This record gives sequence, structure tokens and C-alpha cells, in this order.
Amino acid sequence: MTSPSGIAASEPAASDALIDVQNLRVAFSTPAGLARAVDGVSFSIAPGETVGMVGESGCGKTVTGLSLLRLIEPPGLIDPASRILFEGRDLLRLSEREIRRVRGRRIAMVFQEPMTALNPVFTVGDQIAEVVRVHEGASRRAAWQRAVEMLERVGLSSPAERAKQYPHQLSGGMRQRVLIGMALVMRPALLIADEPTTALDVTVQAQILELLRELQRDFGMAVLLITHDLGVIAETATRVLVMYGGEIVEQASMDELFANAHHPYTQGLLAAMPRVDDTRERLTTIPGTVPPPTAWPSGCRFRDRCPHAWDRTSREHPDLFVVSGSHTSRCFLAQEPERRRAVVAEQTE
Amino acid sequence: MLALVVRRLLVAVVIAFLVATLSFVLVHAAPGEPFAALREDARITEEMAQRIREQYGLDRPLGEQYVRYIGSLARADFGESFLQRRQVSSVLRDALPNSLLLMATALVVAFTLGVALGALQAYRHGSRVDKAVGGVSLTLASVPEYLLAIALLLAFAYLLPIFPTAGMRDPVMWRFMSPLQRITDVARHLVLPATTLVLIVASVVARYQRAALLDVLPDDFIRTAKAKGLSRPRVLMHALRNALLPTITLIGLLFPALFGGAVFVENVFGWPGMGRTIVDALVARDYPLVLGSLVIGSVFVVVGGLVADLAAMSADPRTRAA
Amino acid sequence: MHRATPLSYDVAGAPLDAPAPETWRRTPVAALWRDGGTRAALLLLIALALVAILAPWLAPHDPAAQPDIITLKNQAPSVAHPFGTDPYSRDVLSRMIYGTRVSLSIAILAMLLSTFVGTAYGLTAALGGRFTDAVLMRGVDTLLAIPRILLLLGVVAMWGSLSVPALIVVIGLSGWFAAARLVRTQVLALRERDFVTAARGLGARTSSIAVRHILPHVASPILVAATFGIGAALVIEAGLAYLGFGVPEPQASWGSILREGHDVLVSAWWLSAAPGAALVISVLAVNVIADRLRDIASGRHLPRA
Repeated sequence: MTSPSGIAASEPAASDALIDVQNLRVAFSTPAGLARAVDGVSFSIAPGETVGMVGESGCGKTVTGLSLLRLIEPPGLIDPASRILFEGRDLLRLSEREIRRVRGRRIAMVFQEPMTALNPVFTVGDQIAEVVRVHEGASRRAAWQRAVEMLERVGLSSPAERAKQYPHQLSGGMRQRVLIGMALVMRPALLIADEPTTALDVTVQAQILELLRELQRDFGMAVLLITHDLGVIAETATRVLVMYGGEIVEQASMDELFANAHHPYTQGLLAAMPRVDDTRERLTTIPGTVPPPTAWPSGCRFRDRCPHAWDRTSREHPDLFVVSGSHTSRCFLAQEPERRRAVVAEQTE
Repeated sequence: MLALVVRRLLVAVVIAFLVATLSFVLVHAAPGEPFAALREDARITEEMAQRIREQYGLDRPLGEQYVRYIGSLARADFGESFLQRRQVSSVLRDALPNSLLLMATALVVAFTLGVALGALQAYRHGSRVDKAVGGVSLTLASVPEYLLAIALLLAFAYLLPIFPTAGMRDPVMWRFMSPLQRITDVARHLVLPATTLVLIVASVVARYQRAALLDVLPDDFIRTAKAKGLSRPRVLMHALRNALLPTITLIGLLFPALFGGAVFVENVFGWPGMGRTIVDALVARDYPLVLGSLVIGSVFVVVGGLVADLAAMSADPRTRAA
Repeated sequence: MHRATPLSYDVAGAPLDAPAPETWRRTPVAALWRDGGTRAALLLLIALALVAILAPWLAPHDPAAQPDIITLKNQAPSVAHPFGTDPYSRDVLSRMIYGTRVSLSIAILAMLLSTFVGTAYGLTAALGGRFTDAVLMRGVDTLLAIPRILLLLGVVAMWGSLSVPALIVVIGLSGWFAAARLVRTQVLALRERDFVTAARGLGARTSSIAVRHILPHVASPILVAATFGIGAALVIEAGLAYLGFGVPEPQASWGSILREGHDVLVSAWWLSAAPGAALVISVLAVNVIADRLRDIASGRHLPRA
């Protein structure tokens, strides 16, 4: 779909999307006021696609992930005007019973801390088998079989023995594999992975990412990979959503993003990534810190940290504008090409 | 695990030793000659007095007395009860199982009830049910056992004569009862004393279990359980299975208090266990029986605590292997 | 939350430099007063203390007087005898008033003894080096395993009846174990903190460090333990008296009145109701206050900044 640049991006026809998030708003009621953790996020994921969602902590990406499974609990509230369309239904309108049938079966989630995400008093085999029993009504034996198979599938050696072990007997990497196995045992259509490698050693990180890629190839599920690490995104995602201030600030295919990042925040993230061929002595950082979700700045939320801010950015709040093709950016620079040219000229000096 | 068992058993031995030594010290430190009162006591035959003198070696030097005393205790020879004219060990052999019956019954019921109530409170955190149960358990946990026992006795044995007023079995009819009737009879007598203990222990357990559950509910694995699509009751089971562990440990810590409570309850209801034996022996100044029951009572408490600790350890897979 | 006995609490939560109460609002007493439940409890205990102190002026009759054993015994509560009379025709209200004096003083004095011994023991264990600590703590763990009532009965066995001072000593010496453990844990945690290292660096002796620097910070948990301890002492004293081994006649304590009431449980229920109610209410009040103090000790009472 091509549109001339500078025009506000319209919602893409998402009839072939696996999941279509429309205008998601999630707020938390805190003593310090209402925290708008997610403030108008819209995106869709096609079947089998790997989408990366990247941003610093506090940008709302984890809350977005949790919302997809409706795991937000009071004091958090999802705006009733939001919609999450999945397999022909709005997930936010389903009954408690119906959403439970989606969780773990059609959409599954893997969390950040493998150390604490497993129940320490049940065997790992039991915890995987439980999913099968609950969703398929399988017998204990059949479910156990499936669990052992899954453990093998995720790369654990001697799966039959491992299944009888308890979480504390496994290493971090092994536990994460178990969690992935638990998520995928019912062959869900969508896997949400929230910082799946952050708590692991670097070598293990690579293995886990490789495992995810492999399983995706074999099972054909879509993956929403949530992380703050651009390096992880680079390895696995085909499309990237950059989040800041509870909003999506840039959306592009992986190659396009790395080649032509538009939003100053994305540029900052890319510049901050240490690279092997780097000759710099100091890493660049983005000055300032993420503002609190109880008080997003007016106008463009990034303006306090953006080197190119001007008066328009404090007056108006930018929409997502088309940069080229399906590349969108929430930046007025997309609407003011001369200003942008000046900025680019500055940067290449 | 084995190391723990051995260490605890050693503690039991040490305690027995301590109590015995303490008693020995007290006997000899108390005003007047040891057992001086006995000379006047009409129940003591010359034979018995002689045996006592031998057992305690009253004319020998203190050190030797002590050694003989410890020696006889080690042989489980506590001497003869003045009052009952039989071996103390025999008296205790009758009394201990009765205490065990009362305490074990109370413990099992109280634990189940307490865990259920605590779970209910955590499940409905902040609701009226939570506050109501919380208020009741706070009050009950503050009531001394003997008071509750008296209240229950008054209410359900006298005012509403549903249960017997004292004892463990019907003194008159026991001989004529069939085994089934006997069991029922003991059960009837058991209700009030056990209920007293249950009400108090369950309150403590409920308060503890509620806190333990609320502690666990925000944990990550609960979020995982929900993400798996488990229903709320199942999620609660995940939490409970985890939060049960500290409560089982609590039982071990409660054991001495439970025994102390049983002492009072047995006396109010005339239940023929260790508690009543001790008090009766004290009133009758039956020193061998007093000494024997104190030592055995303490050992019993330590062993009971050990069993509870072992149960806690084997319930938690993280400590089972150790 | 607390995973051990009711006498443990959150060390990390205890504010190291407790904010100086700029306004009286921030003091613990103020916090106790603010909450309706603890305010009632506090008032109740103050009332009981007043009853105990003013006993001679409050009691309508002489507690030991037996005016008319024939006709006046076992009278139900009336205007002349609001709590009725006992089998010896003594006025129960007067006995209860004097009994308050006896029970409360025993409980408070015993608690003071327990607190003192327990604190000293705990401090010694925590500051005395690893070996001392291990030995002393093993000792306490062993003693904790013995039911308190057994301990007391044992002493009674050897000494016959105990006078009031002896009771205080015995109850006090049987109740310091948990406090010792508590103090030791607290002090161990504090010992590693910087201000202690600083003091030691300036050459202060261990004992003076203990008293001047550490003790003030251990004060809160000790206070909590002591408050719970009053309740426990009340209960155990009454229990001992109920079994027949308490204060000797003619003095009355709540427990001994309860004992007298047992034989006439159905016919003269007021004899059991009065001490029973007094005990329950007092212990409940003490526990409510101690609970709240425990919350305060972990800084939860401060009004939000």
C-alpha cells in the first residue's frame, strides 16, 4: 500500500490480519494520578509474521502484550473503546470463560523471568501437561506424553527424566525452554514473548532466539517479540514497532527501519547500539529520561529529549504519518520535508 | 534431611536431660530436705521409702545421687507413683495415647479448617467475608484455652446437654459396649475438648495462611498460570500448594503451645491424658509421677515438632532432596 | 509478610533514622490514637490500670470479708453486688477490682523481667561472636520447645505454692525466649550497618555501642514483643491460678476467681463470667495494640508525604 508521504496513515485494511489491535488504551489508577500506560496503540499482525515491539522500560510495551491476553487487573483498566480483533471476535468483549479458552490455546505468552515464572512445587512435566489437560480434556497419561514430546521439541536432553524434575533443578536457559514449550504445546496462532532473553546469559540468549526461530518455522505461528534490545529484534523480526510514551512512534519493516530510521527516538536507539565495527570511544545516549505515564508532555511526547524540537512540537500532538510505503512515523518532520532536509544535512556533517 | 532428624533427636535427648537436671536441682534446692514431706506422708510405706532412698541415693553425696538419678531415667525407670501404686512408666503409657488422640484430632481438623478459611479470606481479599472471618479469628486467637473450654462446657454440656461433661468414656456402660459403641462413646467425649483446641488453632492457622497466600498471589508463576488459561479455582490451587508450605512449618512451631493448651483442656474436661496426669500428680504431691510426666511430656513435644518439620520439608520439593 | 511466630516482623522496613516527629501527628502514640480500634483498646487498658491503682477507693466492699455465709452466698448480680457473691458470700466485684491489681501488676512486672532478660541475652548473643551466638541460640531454641505451662508446673512442683513475687519471677523467667531471639536477629542486622562501623572506628567499646547506638533502634520491636508479652503473661498467670497453683489466699487474681467459679459453673455462672470477660477483653486489647505497633514499627503508619 503506498500513499504519498506526509499524510496521516489510515488504518490498513486488516481483514487478513491474524490479530488487529485498534486504539488500545490502558490506564492505571495510582496514588499519583491516572497513569496512561498505553495511549492509543493500533497495529496488526499477519499470520506467521514476526513483529518486534521495541522501546525503553515504561513505554507501555509489556502492558500492550498483557492486554492482548486480557491479563490486566485492577487498578489497571482497558478503555472500553479499544478493540482487539482476533479470529473474528473482539477479545475485549469475550466472557471470562471464553477468554480463558483463548489463553494458552490460541494465544500464548512467555514472560521475562524464567526463574520465577514456574511454580516451584510442581514438576515441569506437570505444568506443561496441565495446559493440555485443561484445554483438551486429555487424560493424564496422554497429556504427560505430549509434555515429554514438547520438552524434546524445545531441545531438552533426556526429556522423560527432565519432565519429572522441579524448576529449581533446571538452569535459567532450560527453564525458559520449558516456558516456551508450555506456551506452544497447544500450537497457538500467536506467541507473545515479553523480554524472553533479558534475564539470561548472552550465549543462552542466542540459543533461545534460535529456538524461537526454529519453532516458528515448524509451527508457523505469529510472534510478537517485546524487548528493549534492538539487537534481539534485528535477529528475529521482520517488522518493527517502536514505542514511546505509550504510543507507537514508528513502524517499518526491519530492513527499512535499520536503513532509514525516521523518528528521532528510533535514531537515538540505533545510535546507542554498540556495534562490533564501532570506532567511537563513547556511546551516544538519548539525553533525559522517560517521562512518567501520569504526566505525558503535551504535544509531541518526545520533544523534551529531541534535538530537533521546535514550537509546533509543543503545540500539536503528531499523528502517525506515512514516510514511505508502509513505513510510518509519529513525527512532524514527516510533514515538513524542508525542515527534515536541514536536519539530515546537520547529521551527516 | 537425615542430618536434621538426628539433630532433632539429639535436641530431644538434651531437653530430657535438661528437664531432669532442672528437676533434680529444684528438688535439692527447695527448702527443706528432699522429700522431707514424704516422711510424714501416710501413704508412704516403709518399703517405698526405702526404695526411694535407694533410687535417689539420698544418703550419698550429691554428685553420686545425680548420676544414679540420670541413670534410672535413662532406663525409663521413673520409679513408682505414690498415688497409683504402680510404675510411673505404666501410668504414662496409658496417659500418653489419650493426649495423642486429642492433639492429633484437633491438629488435623484445625489445619484443614484453618487452611480453608485462610484461602477463602485471600480469595475474597477485602470483602466482608474476609473481614468477618478475620475478626473472629483474631478474637479466638486471643482467648485462653481454659476460658473457651469452660464456655463450651457450660454451653454444650450443661445448658444444652448434648455432650458429656467429663472424661473419655462412660464409666458405667463401658463394659457392656460393643467395639463400635465404644468408638462412638469416645468420639462423643472427644468433641468438646477437641473443638476447644480446634477453634483456637484454626484461628491462628487461618490468619497465617491468609497472609502467606496474599504473599504468594502477586508472584510471577501465578501470572503464568493465568496466561495458560487456567480457571480461577485452579489458579488458587497453584497459589495454595505453594502457600501451604510455611503453614506446615508453623504447625511445628505451634506444637509446644498446642500441648500447653491441651494441658488446660484436659483438666477442664477431665480427659485422662498427660495434662491431667501432671496436675493430679502435682496436687497429690506424687513426685515420681510429676517428674516422669514432665520429662516425657517435653520429649513428646520435641518429637511432635520434629514430625511436623519433617512433613514440611518433604512437602517442599526444594528441600526434599537435601 | 511474617513467616515466623507472631513476634517476628520486617527488619528492612524499620526506618533507620526514624523521622523526628515534627508534629505530634507522626508519633506512634498519635498513630494508635488515630485508629478507632486501637483507641478503644488503649482507653480500655488505661481504665484497667486506673482500676488497679485506685482499687481501695473503688471497691464497694472488703474483698476478703465474708459477711453472711448462710444467706448471702452465691447471690446473682444485684444492685448491692453488681457481680454477685461467691460461695463464701464475698462480693465478686470487689474481688475483681483487687484482682485487677494483682493480675495486672504480675503481668506487667513479669513482662518487664522477660524483656530485660531477653534483651540482654539477645544482645550478648548478637554481639558476642559466632561461637557465643551459636551456643546461646541453641540454648534458646531448646528452651522454646518446652511448653511454658510445663515449665511453670515443674517449678510449682518443687516449691509448693508461690508467693506473688515468686510468681512474677517465675513467669518472667519463662517468657523471655522469643524476645531474645527477636533482639538477636534485629541486632545482627543492625550490626552490619555503617553507623556501627563508624562508632567502632572511633574506638567505642562494644558494650557502649550496644547501649548507645543499637538499643534505640531495637526499641520498636522490643516494644512490640513486650506488648504481646503482657497478654501472654496475663493468660499464663490466670491459667496457673485456675489450675490451683496461683496466688495464695486470701489474695484474689482473675485466675483464682475463675477457679472458684468452676465448681459452681452452672449455679453461679457470674463467678466465671466476670474474670472470663475481663481476661478476653484485656488480651484482645493488648493484641490489637501490639498488632498496630508492629505495623508502625515497619513505618506503615506515617501519613503519605
